[in-house]
Amino acid sequence: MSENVKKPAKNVSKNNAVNNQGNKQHRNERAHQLKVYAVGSVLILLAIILLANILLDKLLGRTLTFDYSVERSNVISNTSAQFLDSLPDGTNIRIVGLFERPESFYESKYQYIIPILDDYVKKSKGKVTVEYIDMQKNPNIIQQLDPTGSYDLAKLSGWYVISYNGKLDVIDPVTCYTIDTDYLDETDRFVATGINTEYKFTNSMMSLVRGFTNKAYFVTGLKENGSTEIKNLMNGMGIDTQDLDVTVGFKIPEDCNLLILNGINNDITETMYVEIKTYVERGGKAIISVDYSPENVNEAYPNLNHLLNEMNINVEHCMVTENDPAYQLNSQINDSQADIAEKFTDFATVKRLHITLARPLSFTAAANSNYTTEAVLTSSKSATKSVADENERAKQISSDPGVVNIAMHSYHNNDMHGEIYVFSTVNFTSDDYFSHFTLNDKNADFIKSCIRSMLPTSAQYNIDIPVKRLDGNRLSTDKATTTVATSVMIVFMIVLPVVLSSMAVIVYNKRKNL
Amino acid sequence: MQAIFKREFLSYFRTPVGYVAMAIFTFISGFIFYSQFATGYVSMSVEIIMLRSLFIIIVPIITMGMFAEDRKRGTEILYYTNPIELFSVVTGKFLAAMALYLVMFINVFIHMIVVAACGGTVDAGVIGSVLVFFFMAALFISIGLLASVLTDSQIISAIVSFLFILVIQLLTVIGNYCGTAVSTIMSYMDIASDTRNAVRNAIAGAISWFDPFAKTELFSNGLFSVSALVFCLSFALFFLYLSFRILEKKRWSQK
Repeated sequence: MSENVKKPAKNVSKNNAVNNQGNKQHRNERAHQLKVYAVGSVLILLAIILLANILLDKLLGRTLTFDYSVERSNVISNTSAQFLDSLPDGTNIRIVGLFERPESFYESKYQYIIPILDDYVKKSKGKVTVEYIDMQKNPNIIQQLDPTGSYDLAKLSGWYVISYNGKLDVIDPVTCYTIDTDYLDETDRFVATGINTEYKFTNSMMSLVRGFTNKAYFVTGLKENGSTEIKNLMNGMGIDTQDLDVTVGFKIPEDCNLLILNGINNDITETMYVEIKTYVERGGKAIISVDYSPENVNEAYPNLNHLLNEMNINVEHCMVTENDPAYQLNSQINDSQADIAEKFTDFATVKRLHITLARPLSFTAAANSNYTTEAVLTSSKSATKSVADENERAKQISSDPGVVNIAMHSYHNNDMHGEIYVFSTVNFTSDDYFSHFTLNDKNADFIKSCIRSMLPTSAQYNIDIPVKRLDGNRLSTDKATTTVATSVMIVFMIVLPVVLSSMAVIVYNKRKNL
Repeated sequence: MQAIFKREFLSYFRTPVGYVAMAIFTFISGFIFYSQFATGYVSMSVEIIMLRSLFIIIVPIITMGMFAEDRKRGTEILYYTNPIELFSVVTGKFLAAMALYLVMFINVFIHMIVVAACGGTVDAGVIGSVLVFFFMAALFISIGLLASVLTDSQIISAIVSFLFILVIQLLTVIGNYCGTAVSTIMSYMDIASDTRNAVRNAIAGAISWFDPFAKTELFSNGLFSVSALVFCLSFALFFLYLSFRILEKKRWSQK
């Protein structure tokens, strides 16, 4: 009997064992299926994400990139796009960056260059190509771009070369920015106030395709002002520019169409006097700018005056003091506006222009009838003259209030049409001024008109590419005072972190025993 | 998901974690802001872009306890035994961390108000930078969350997410190194320099393609790239799904 009872029990346990084994096997199978599903779904999702991202990036990456910057700083303007459209089909302008295209160029000098060049490629319909070739790895590129070796490209690593039908131009990336030179002098830090990238590249392409029509020489060696911006401006007008160093002898080259003395702080030499006088008499054109700044308060410019007196102009050794509040800027007597003389009102879209630290210009007592001389810019009727005292403060000198000339124009009456513009402020030519106000400023428009009046340029160069301003990051000096800066430091670096840390300590102490 | 989000978000303020993360963020963002303010030039885009490098510190702090803490307390079992979607749990915790980031970011919004009041600019570039900041925060939080799912220890979780984010931050550099290394090896095999350069560039390009920092850096110029945002979002989704799968595996492999 007991055997009979035991038998079914044995069978039950055997059945249970079989069932358990079956369940276990089932569980294992299910686990395996779930594992396959889990791993498979992860892999499939990863593949889909990778594929979708690659396709999106490669096919639509550029199309789905939008420039929402206020100045549209990363794309070319319609002016450049129209220039590209105007080029005949089959035109091939090759832009080569003499470096490897960096994967990351944020906060580098290429930040506002590479995206704009990409846009040139995008909008040129194949007429412009951009490549990045490291000269160290591909030295053949130097020979390929410049077979004659006239540009010494080996020394221009990091620059851009623009090549068209064997003609070359080179662009230093740094010149694609307007730098705040005042801020640089004060703090030794570079702050870009504007982007010239499009200005530089479009003008360079235009010069290569259409050729320069004129050449301007900038006199150097007289402690003159920086001329980078005015050179950019001229290049944009189809005028080639070159320096003329007086320290190695002074001779005006035959191909000089325009001679520029930009903010000279030293007087010209006797030789220069003779050369420039002859040059103008023979039909040469010149622009001369000086001012009354700490660098030249002791300079009376006797030789320059000797030259200008021939043209009925005299540069006085003092400063224009603007007493009319309607003309003053920021309530400054030496930073003001000047009226444009009636004959020159077409040169600008405004009636007054910005002048700073100007010297008075006057007509010479004994007029030279060979020259016709006229005022171009004048002060208000309330202007007087002052000199800087030993503390560099303006000291009024005896002078009745009246209109003072700030810029004058003189031309020879012979058939050669030599002429000269004299500015007694550097606000029309210097980097100091344009680094603040960029080439979009009205003063830039005015000097362009002056140049055009002397060197009629072809209409094909009359395109205006605005400089894109970048100085929106500058805080108002009235509001961002040292007191405010200190308060910012105390609140954001001390008070708030200390309060939050204290909260952490309180919470920790309350909860550590829970 | 709402309950998880609420519980998780409030837990940051019931423990020192949230306050410590906020204190670090406030101090460093304040330092960057003041450094610019003192010079008279403030670019909020630069501040926000610089703050991206803080992910490596902040993300491990706020994500290390997400699942590891539950495991330590034994409350993790509730996720497996209650009839709730594990993906909701993952999403709830993820959104809570994002919300904490938003709270921390109030600090930067105050900086923007100060800048605007002082005559500075808050333009499209700044908005782009904010957008990128949160998309990248989403990516890195999802990575930190995955690290928290993988391990029982908060410390190990923090180290794993720290390393992961560090590698991502260095992807472009790593790509260049790998490319150069392969190119050097090929030079021993007398392979032509053009081929070597092509391979080096291809390797460097392929690795650095995954670098979200490089992809998004031009947002601060006001240049919005949809593909960069899709990249951050899609990989954040992937890491969240991976975390969910690992939790799901734990649910069905419970014995």
